[in-house]
Amino acid sequence: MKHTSKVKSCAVVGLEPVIIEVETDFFPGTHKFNIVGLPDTAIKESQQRVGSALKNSGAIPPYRLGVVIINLAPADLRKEGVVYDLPIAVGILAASSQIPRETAFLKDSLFVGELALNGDLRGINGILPITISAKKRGFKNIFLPFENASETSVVKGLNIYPVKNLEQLMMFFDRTVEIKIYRAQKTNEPKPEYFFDMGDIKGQEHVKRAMEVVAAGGHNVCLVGPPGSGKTLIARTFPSILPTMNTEECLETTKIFSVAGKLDRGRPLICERPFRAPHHTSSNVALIGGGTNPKPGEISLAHRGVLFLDEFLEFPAKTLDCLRQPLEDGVVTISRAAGSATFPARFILIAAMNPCPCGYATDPEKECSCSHSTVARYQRKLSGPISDRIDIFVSVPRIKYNKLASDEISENSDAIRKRVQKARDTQGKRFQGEQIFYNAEMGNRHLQKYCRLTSEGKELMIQAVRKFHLSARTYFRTFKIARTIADLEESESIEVTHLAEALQYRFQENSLM
Amino acid sequence: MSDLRKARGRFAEGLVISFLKKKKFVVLTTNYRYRSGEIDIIAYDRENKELVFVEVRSKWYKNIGTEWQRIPIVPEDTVNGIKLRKIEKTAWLFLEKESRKWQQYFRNIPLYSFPEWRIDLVSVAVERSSCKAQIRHYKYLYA
Repeated sequence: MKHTSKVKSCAVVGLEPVIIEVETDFFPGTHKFNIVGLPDTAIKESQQRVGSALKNSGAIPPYRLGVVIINLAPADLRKEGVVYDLPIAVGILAASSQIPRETAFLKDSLFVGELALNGDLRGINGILPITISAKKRGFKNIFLPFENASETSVVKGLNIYPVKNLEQLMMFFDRTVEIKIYRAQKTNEPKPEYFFDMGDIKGQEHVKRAMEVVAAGGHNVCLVGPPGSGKTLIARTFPSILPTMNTEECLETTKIFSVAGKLDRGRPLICERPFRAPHHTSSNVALIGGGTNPKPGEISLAHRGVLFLDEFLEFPAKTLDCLRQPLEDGVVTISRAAGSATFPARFILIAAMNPCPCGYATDPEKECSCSHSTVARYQRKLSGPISDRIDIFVSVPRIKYNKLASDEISENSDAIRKRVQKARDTQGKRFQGEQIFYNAEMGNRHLQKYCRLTSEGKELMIQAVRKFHLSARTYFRTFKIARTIADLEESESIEVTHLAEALQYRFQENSLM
Repeated sequence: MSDLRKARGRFAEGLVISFLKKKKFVVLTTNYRYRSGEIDIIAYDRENKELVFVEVRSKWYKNIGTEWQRIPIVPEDTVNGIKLRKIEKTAWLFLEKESRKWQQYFRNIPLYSFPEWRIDLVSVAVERSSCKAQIRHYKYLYA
């Protein structure tokens, strides 16, 4: 009689799910429980959990089966985590013929879950990428912990069996108990909620306008101004003017949160654009991602959303320079001895900073107490490559009293969002068939194709290059911003006014002082 | 080993054999020796269809209380991993060398494979004055 079984499970390497085959064999002798296939400590310890769980669920405990061998294939991939508890238990049950072995049903099923000693199933992280890949690979059934069922509600066309405990699963295979296939309750179209609204901000109209351009074109922005002028508040309201995420974007974001274990069990799908504001003492690894087995960092958690770096220049220069490559590519590849992982990191960077250590260098009312060299040293922290990747620099001045006290109601976020959405739609149509989505992602090839200037525009640019000594990169960046402004105005071509506004955002950089 | 000790051991083994027979075990061999190892009893468990290698541990006490905890050192305390591995080794040798002895009980076993087997421990605590014994049976031992 053959004593082997094959059960499928799934590992998540970075964000990529890999199907793992859990093979079980046993032969007579005094009890030994061997797990091979590069397991980590958590998996090696799973023999204790699985053994107790099986015993307490009324199955034949592994110690009565003699020598038990578990192989996790592919053998060269390092396995980690606790998702293999359930497949190992099911493998043992199948190998010892306690549940039907080698059925088509078992072949088409995927098992994930952590076991408690009494046989209950505990929730695990990263269930969404697993479920999505299960569907892609043509699996028909997935067995997962009951707690995790709600996270999978976006995946359709797969039988999802939420399992409460091992006993229930065994009875299910005996056909004495039916496990109800999980059906997502009909929820209303997920609606994002915002706590901050741009309408609540008094004054600062030009900053709001700049933010609108940023949101429309997906550019990166740097807000410069004295303390208390509202930089942080504006940044916090920024997600509310961004267009709502489509389903694909929601899934991408939720996947990352799922792998990072930051998903709220009550809210299975993240439909607000993430807003991540790491403190300036964050380490490189916290920001970029990393660890022995790579995990996503803040920039990946901000994928499709906003990464807000308050007190930008207080970040260590090295940390800031880590951002160079992800800002350019929209992905970050983390390589460690244990393996490498690629995480998406397409976010809008909002940096906020003071112009000098005391913060009042640009303030007309309060005198700056910093020496010229201190200011120069402070601003030197912003390295050239990083400032090149920031398209728009906006100065946020102190608000005058009469503005603060006025009852003037400014435009609220919904109205701005509608315009932004329109501009994004235009871009979407324009870049159909290209690999890019926003104006900010345009390369030189796209610029030549989509940013044709009028003769007046050309004249203006010649003057600007001559007067402001624009670098080549800056020159092209100006086009991108002008393109976005033109999109906001629903204009097909780039007019002089658009160019002029774009030039103005660029020059704040040189006049930080 | 003194004669008394030997005699006591033999006595305990006799007790265990009758105990196992009562439990519907078939005793195949006693005191099987191969090289340095010895297995006290080799029996066939009809109920579970398994070959059982039994290690008997006995200890003699002045008097045994009603509660087994009152016995300072219980007989099973004297078995450790090293002893268990020794039994395991001898068991494998038995399975290989003496296949005639066990094959009659495992008729339809494929070629080159071994029957289901296990190691059991039976502890015997005997009261000296009355020769009454407490027997405890531990199944499926593993190190």
